Amino acid sequence: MVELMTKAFAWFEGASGWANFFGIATPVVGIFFAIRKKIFRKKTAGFSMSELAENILRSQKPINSKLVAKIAFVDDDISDFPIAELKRAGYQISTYKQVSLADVTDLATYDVIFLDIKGIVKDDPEEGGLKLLTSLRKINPNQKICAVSNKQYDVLATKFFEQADDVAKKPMTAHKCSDLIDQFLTEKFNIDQIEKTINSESDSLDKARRADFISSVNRLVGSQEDLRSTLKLDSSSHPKLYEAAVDLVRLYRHVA
Amino acid sequence: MLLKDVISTGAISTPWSCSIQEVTLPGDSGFAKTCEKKCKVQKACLATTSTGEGLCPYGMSYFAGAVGPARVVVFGVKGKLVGTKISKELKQDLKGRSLDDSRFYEWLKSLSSLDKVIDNHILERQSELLDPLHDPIRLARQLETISIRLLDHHSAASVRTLDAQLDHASTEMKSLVKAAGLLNDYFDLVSIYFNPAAARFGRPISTSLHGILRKITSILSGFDTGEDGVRTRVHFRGESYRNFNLRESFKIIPFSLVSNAVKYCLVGDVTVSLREMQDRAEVSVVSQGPPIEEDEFELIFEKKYRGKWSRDLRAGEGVGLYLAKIVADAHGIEISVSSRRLGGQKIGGTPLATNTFRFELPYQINR
Repeated sequence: MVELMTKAFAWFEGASGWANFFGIATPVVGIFFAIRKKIFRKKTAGFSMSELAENILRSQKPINSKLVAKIAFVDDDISDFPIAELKRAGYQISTYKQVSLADVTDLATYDVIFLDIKGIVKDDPEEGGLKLLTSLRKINPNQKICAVSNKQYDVLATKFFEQADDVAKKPMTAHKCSDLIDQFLTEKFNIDQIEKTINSESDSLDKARRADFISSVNRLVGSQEDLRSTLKLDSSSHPKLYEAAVDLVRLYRHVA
Repeated sequence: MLLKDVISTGAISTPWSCSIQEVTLPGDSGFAKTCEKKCKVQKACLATTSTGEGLCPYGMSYFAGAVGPARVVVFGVKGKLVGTKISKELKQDLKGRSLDDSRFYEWLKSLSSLDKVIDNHILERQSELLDPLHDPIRLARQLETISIRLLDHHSAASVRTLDAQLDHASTEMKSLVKAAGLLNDYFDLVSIYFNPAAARFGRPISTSLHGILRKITSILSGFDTGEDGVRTRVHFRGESYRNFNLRESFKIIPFSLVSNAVKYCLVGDVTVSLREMQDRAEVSVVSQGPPIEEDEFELIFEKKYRGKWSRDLRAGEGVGLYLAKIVADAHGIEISVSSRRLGGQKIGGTPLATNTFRFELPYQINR
């Protein structure tokens, strides 16, 4: 028994060098890898999304959303809208009397869209507005849509009005129109909200995709490359994140 | 729901004896003898509220379910609850009347499909019939915009608010602005009448309650001549500089309450009061007219219901307060009513009462 204990003591005394080594080396190596990781990430990914948002907020140049935003009016009777007055006020306006359901990808790139329900879609004059609105919501959930129609009495049009961000009757006055647009743009170009959306939505990306995405955003803020074709993210799988990133880059370029 | 009416025609056969929304049908095999003998007056199975299979006091199965809001009960049938130890007479009566859950629910499903087809058809027809409203609504809006522009144009530069401009305007100008405003408000009422969901359309926006009440009282005051040729005036009392987050439909509430008060006002004027409280504002509309009985306080907000004392006094459809209630519900607002008789005073045989409609708006509404 005594012999056994002597052997055990001798083994522990012999191993104390190793114990000291591991005790000191483990935290040192850990700290080294943590610092390396941080430096390495910085070099490949550039700014984080929060840093980009912070840069926009700290910029000396204020955001003039009228210059950034694209607004579309889709209605078979465009005279119901004060287009000339809005243009004079500095808004960037496009008008469409009739569209096709195939045009939805282009229409989804507008920040604000005023949409009628009837007679605006060649392929489906009766319910085209509703179909278009549903597709727009799917492709660009961040787009602000105003359902403009006097058919609020029609039960069959209920879904159209319920899916929109706001509802208005025609004809619209310039005052009402610009109030609505300004309210929409304040919400859509809210940097804190864009940052929150990007951070929460990008959590669902795997490490490699997230790195690609951040790197492409960094590349885009420093260049004038085409946004939608350069951004490395599948817009159909992550429409909310995609559109929030597009807005972030547009605002960054605007204040730069 | 027209389902019960469609089935009642007999054009569509029902395989078993059943009750669809309180309409009782014998079915292809007619009523079971037990049902006819023992439940001739009232059927116990129809009074139950359960779903699925049940056993009636006379040993027969019944199956209950629903098609939309309508209750459907199949009765006088042999389900698994009937068992085997039954009298010869009952056995004979239930011959050829077997039914199980799967067949019953399959049948309910087909009734639901039929109900949907009928409903869709009605909605499509309604949509077509209401289509001619589209342009008048547009023109009414145009008319209101132009009338307000005209009023502004003809008013002195120092008079800025609509009600102040109306006070100084000529009779013709006043009538034009008021009529255009009323026309739009009536179209809004029509929209919500045909599509109650419209009360929730659009987002709540910061709105001056004081401004809405001021505009409505200005428009409705002295505009309409009653059957007795007297123009009822509407007085507005109270101040509030707070804005509330309200949907566009909100104005229907004060509009309906004030126009209802004007319509039934028999003595004096209508008073609209706005009072700020600790965490909310209170709006009340007070007038003297026919009494509202206590058991009618809820009924008067039902579609087509007209008060006992008011139905013969003025022509009407019984929709104004119903629409106010729809919009109030969409905003989570409760409208309360009180009616206090003025001693034994009567006007042309109608007792006189002070009627008060009241609602409260929390400052934090829709925030």
